[in-house]
Amino acid sequence: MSDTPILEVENLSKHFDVRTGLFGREKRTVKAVSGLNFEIGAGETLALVGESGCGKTTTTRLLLRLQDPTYGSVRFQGQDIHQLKGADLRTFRSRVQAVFQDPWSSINPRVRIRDFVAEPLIVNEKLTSAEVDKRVLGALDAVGLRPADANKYPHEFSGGQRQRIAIASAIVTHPRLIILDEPVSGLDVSIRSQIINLFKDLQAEYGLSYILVAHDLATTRYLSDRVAVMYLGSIVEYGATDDVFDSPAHPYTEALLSAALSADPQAKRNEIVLTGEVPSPLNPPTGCAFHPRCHRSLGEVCQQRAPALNIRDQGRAVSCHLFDD
Amino acid sequence: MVDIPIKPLTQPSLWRRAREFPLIPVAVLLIVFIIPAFFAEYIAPHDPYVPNLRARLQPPVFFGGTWEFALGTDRLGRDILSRILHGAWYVLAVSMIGIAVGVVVGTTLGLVAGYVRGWFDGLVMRLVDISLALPAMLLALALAAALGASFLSVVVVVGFALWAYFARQVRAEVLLLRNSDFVARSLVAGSSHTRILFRHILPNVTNTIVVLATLQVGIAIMLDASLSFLGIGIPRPTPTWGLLVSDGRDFIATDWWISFFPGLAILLTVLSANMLGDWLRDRLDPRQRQI
Amino acid sequence: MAQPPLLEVKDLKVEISTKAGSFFPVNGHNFTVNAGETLGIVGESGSGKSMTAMSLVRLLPKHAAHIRSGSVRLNGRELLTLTEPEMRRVRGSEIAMILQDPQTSLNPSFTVGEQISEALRLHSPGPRRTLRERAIDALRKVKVAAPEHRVDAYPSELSGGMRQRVVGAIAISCQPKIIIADEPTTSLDVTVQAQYLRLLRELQEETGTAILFITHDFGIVANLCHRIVVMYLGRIVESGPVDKIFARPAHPYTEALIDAVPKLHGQDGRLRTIPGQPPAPTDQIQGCPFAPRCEYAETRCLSDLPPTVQVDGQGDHSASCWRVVDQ
Repeated sequence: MSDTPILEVENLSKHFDVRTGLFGREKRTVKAVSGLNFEIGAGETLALVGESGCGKTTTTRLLLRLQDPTYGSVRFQGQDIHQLKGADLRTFRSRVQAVFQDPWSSINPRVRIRDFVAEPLIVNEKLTSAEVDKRVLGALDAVGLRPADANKYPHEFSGGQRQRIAIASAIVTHPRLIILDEPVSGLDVSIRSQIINLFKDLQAEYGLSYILVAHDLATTRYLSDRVAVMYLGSIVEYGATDDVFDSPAHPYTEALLSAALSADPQAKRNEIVLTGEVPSPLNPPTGCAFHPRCHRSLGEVCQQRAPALNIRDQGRAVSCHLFDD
Repeated sequence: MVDIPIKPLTQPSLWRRAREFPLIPVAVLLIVFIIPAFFAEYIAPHDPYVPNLRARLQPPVFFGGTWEFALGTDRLGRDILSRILHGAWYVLAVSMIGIAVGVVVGTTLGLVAGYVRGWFDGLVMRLVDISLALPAMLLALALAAALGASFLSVVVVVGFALWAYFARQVRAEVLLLRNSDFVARSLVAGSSHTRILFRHILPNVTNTIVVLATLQVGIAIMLDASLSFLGIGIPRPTPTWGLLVSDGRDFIATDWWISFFPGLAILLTVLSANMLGDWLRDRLDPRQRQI
Repeated sequence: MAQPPLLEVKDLKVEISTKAGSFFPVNGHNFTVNAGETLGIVGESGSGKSMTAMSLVRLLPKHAAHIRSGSVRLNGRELLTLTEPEMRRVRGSEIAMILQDPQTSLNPSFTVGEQISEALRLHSPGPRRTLRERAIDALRKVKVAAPEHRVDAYPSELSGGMRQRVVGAIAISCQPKIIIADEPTTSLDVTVQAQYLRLLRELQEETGTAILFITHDFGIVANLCHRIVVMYLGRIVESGPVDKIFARPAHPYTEALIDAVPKLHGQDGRLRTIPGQPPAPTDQIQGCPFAPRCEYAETRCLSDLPPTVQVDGQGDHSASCWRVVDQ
């Protein structure tokens, strides 16, 4: 990554106020996401990995400007996306797109494929209808659908084809960055590899950057260049995907990888089964958020003091007291 | 190994297929309600308004009466059948316009409340609560006292009684839809809120509105009839069905037909409208659709 | 395998009739489950794997689905000819089920103890106090901490992982000979899934129960199952020991499916893909059901259904494919 990153995330945090108690007297703050820092270069894929409640969803909503951060910033091509207005905002909207998990709920059932795919063009760019048609057919072709499909309705397609339609709509404006939110976990196994390959092909052809949110670690490894492991709203480990997968540093990453099941009965796993579950963000543990479940806890220091994100060589960062110097 | 004898495939029986389209309710609605509403002038055998004292209190045919007054006559000698046929138009007009008012007001408020949330949502939902808690009769009495009972006041009362159901239902669906992935995707694509409301949310609640509106036809007719029965509906001499039932009130023990046949018309219409509404709901509501 | 199998399914056919016509989501199944073993049924959505499970316990949707032929024997006893009350005694006492979402299969208005006792009482009635003792025992078996205390808790007072254990406790409370688990981990996070699979393995070691595990996930199969059955469009296309199938899949579908899943330890190049879309369960296909998507398909594959034949001489690995027939 010699050139400037296309997306820079700095100290991004989102807190929600929640009222609890019988009459909503007690007010608590949930830190859905706190202090995220990362960046993505052109043509690069960054994966956000973690279990439910780790803040992946909030992060994608912040990056897509569907929510405003409590503090921190997201800069796309140098501009803070949460300050954009007018034409700049429209440019952002056509440059950053998303593909969601469920191909059944991410397409409006009452809109023709042509109109669904064209929507990002129609609302952001002033084009004649002939130009729009040309771009829509081009996008459908790029994802392996036929021109005749443009006039059909969503219910005429299977899950895998619907995901192709969603992808066509995401690339129709020639975006720079696409956020992939669990893009294959709603699909049948025999379809997944088609879609995964399609993402790779599109990236090679258009120089796209991806932010991949996934819980399937094998898919993450295959698709991403770098990975950020999240736990309870924070990044606990960050680095090149192969490095992190081959030699996980944070005990949580270690446990996550050991829990992932390899489709190979011969693979002998060093099984670390964590006790308990992800704690509620309403009531996070003191010190390191992971310490109650950690198999390598150092005791007092982990219970009392939250570890800082410790930058190590080759862009690797770990947030754990084991690596305090 | 046992062999379970292969049973022949059960074909859906003729009766089941017949039940799929509510033929009978639709036929009843047409014969009792829709056709009379538009063609009463041509099919009614007598003038519904002109008294005919020589033919007072004729019983219906088969109960000692004649075919000339098939459903009998009232105490002024007016033909019950003709009065029911002529009344249908008013019942239809009141229920349709009343429901239209309810749909427009309820859908608009529900749509906006569910989408923008916040204080506006709170306000609309409190209004819904008030509207559902306040008996429509009370409002009807107040309106009749203030403006005098008229076609307009009845339509206002029906619309007022129904809008809250639409608002509540539409809002509930909008709350689900606004969190759906396709709305999120459209926001990411850069769509304005107006575009999302009208292109993505409204088309997905129209089925609900159609079904609810059909099911409300019965309620609207009952309400209209109750108002007329109490004398705060469309004023005399308009022969609305509730008024016709009310006319026979004092003679129910002896000359039962005066109230019975208008009551029967109300019953058949409401029942058929509800059956049609149930069928529509089964057809249009994807959540209820099974294999 | 000198002793007879615990569960023996022969030529099982289930037909579903709809307005549009009828189809067979379970079309001539033959398989066995031995005591103490875990059999995985693997397939995609629409392959008929859940229908297979439901037909074994005869809980198919009424009116729509019917068992047309075949035999299901549990310890030599035919289940398909039992009366409904007899079948009800079999369910829960000899066959237990764990359904797709363990989180929602508990009734929120009853305590954990009441729900376990209910399962116990249906099959071996006893006084309230002993039932409670047995419920506590069952909780202890699934490693719930402080079972004397938790037995009086409502499901909402327990964590998700704890609720799963309670569902497990209900399943084993009557010492079933076989547990049928229908994708019980699809909605779970990876670390919680790992806990759950370990629990199943421990229960199996302790009680010797057999498990029929239905899933679409080859990762789970590789780690949990002894033998697997691969389903495609209502038919079993391959079955055999898990090591053999992963090492040398005989059916092109199994082979392609294993190759299409990215590997956790990393790989380069494109993933293998299976062309086309999965068929709808209602699709009628003459010949081999996988032929339209198979890269090795020949003309006879499209016209004639291949028989199920042994893959090697050992008799425990079979597949239904013309290429295997020719070998």
